[in-house]
Amino acid sequence: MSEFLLLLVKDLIIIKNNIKLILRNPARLLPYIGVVGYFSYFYFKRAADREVVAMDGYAFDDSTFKIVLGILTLLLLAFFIFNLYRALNSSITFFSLADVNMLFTAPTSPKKILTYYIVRSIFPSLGAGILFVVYSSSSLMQSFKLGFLDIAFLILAVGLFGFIASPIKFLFYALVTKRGIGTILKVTVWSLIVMIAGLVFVPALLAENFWEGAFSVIGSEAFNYFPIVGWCRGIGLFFIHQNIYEAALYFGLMLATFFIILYAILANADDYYEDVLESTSSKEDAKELAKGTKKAGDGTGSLNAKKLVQLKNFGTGAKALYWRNYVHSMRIDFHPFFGLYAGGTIAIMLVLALLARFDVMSHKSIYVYLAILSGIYFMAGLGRVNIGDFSKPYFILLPDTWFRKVWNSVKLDVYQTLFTMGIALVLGVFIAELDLTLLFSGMMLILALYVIGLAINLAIKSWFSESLDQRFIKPIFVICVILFGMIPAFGLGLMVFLFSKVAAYGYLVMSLGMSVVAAIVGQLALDVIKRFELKD
Amino acid sequence: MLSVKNLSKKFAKELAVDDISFSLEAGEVVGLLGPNGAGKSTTIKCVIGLLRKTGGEVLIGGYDHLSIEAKRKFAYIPETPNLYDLLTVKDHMQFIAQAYGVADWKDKAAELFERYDLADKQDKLGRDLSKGMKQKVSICCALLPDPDLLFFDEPMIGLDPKAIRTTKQVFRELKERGKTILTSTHLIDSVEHIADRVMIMKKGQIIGIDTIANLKQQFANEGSLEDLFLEITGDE
Repeated sequence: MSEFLLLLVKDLIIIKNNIKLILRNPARLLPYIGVVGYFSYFYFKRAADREVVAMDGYAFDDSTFKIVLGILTLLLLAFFIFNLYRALNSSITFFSLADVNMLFTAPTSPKKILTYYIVRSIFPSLGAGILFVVYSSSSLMQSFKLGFLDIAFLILAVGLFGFIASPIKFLFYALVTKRGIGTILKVTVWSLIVMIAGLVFVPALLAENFWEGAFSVIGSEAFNYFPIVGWCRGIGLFFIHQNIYEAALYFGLMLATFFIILYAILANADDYYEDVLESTSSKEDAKELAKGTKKAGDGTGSLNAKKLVQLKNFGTGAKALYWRNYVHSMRIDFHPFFGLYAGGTIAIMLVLALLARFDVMSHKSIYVYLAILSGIYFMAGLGRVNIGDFSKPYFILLPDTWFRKVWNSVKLDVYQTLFTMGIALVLGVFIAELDLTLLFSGMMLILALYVIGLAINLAIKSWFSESLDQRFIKPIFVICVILFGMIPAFGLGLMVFLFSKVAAYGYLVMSLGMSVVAAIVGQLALDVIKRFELKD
Repeated sequence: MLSVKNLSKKFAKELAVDDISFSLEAGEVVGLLGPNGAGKSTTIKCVIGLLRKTGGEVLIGGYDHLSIEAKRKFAYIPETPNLYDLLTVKDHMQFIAQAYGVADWKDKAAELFERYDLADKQDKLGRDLSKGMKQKVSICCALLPDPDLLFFDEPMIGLDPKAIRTTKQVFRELKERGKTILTSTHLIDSVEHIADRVMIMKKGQIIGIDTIANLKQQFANEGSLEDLFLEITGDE
């Protein structure tokens, strides 16, 4: 049997089995139906309420449009170059460990296997494109009348952009390992970075308005001709330029690029099995991690991994968890309460505060910095359940109450936050002469966001046993908490700021609002945590 | 059947396999023994082409080990069984049958399922199997194409006592049918009564390769293979 047919049959059977699995438990579909209903409602509501803006209202010569498009393009460029840079040091894989054990040792052509899997990888990207368009179209529909072709090109643009990164990364790694041209590729990537920085900063410095200048090139229509990023943008913006020949040209260029890359891969990476072993294993680990059947190691990045630590007992029961965290922290950083990240956080605050004090920068930069830190702590809370104590059986087995177990698992995080943010806020507030209430509100906001993130993930892991459900429901839950909890709290803070004209008061009210949200979501998580389980 | 000449494998600065040469004749069963980190799994993975050899030559049935002709002649049972999550046990057999062009696979699969108590698990998905079950499926997949040469990497790990006995029985039957087996294991007694020769590795080198009787004579050790192994590797 031909390799392509063999693999196609295998994938079709996998799809069939997946459908059977869903049909065996149709109740699993209920949350998805809810989500589809939710988006459909907004989709049609916004379509009905929309005030369609004339297409020429979004012309490339419109400065606001250029800035928006420029920011978007810059993000795409950053994503693309980041992928290229990563490819210099690590390979990617299209395979699973089952492929390694069963397919790589079978009498099949490695080139054909690789070709099939590379081509196949476009489907998940197109799927992501569809999801993206579904998520975003409810908003786009409010301003644009999107037809079938508009949506099709939008999906194609997102899908192709997501897809093309993988073969390029594979080719780069093959060229680095086989041809030994790592230095040349590194220079190429850095030249690209310098070139793009030039395209942003040179016109920005020459223009009267910095921001308008910064995006005058990458936000221009001509940038559609820039390989890959520009072409994909040109395809996706069909709903604005409405030039089907132009969109088709970019699509053709993307296809041609793909075939050239594929040819280059096959010419340079015929003996790739070893190169993908490690990345396949890592991918499988990540998959297991997402499923909850494998837990993340928490020893990564240790500064003193071999440090001999002798620490007295902290007490019995759940306190053992705090003790473990403390010992672990002594090994990974300078001190359990103060480490590399804490130093960095405080140093940035110090610099910002000094710049604000001497009027080099606005004191608003400190508020922005606090907002960024809040976001980071929110994400840290979201990811906390996958590492450390929560990922070990003794979190369930340990004889103590759930509340004490959760508290002792995160106690050190809380102390670290209080310590780090305490120093950072004292420096920021006193040096930049900000309102004293920020000492309290800044701390409260960050802790509240950490708790919200943690509670969301704990609740999801406890509620849903299927990893697929967890992965799908988590963003929905996050969106709901943001929409119905965090945005109102933010809005309240904004209103207070607008009335009082004092940013610190707005921050204080927002922190109080976020604390209420944290209390509600935290209580919800504690209510369902008894269902928390670890999968083998 | 298998000829390995001056095989070496280097990971960064570490020489995992250090210029080893050996050969296996058709119908021979060879036990590959060695302490942890000796290079047993790396040797097998280099031979079957999962790892790129740093140097040397490997021929399987006279063909270069990376050629499709060579791959038709061997099967590999990995230390950690990895199955497709969403293929059933039966689907896996069908997949292997297609990959190796096995014509009457259904009867052969049924026979193997019977031997390894998998008959009632045929419709179970890979993701729903225990590690031991996965190992049984992995062995069945390797046996289905009836290859001339089999590489077993720690095949007994995770198997229940009955499956271990079945696997030992399978070894004997394969040997009687003239098949060649290279099996790495820490369970020394599992190869003691069946291996024609044992190959002992340490630090990437072969420190002994011969029949058990000859090795015992050579090292003046009349004890069990376990005693002999500990003496040769210096781990006693």
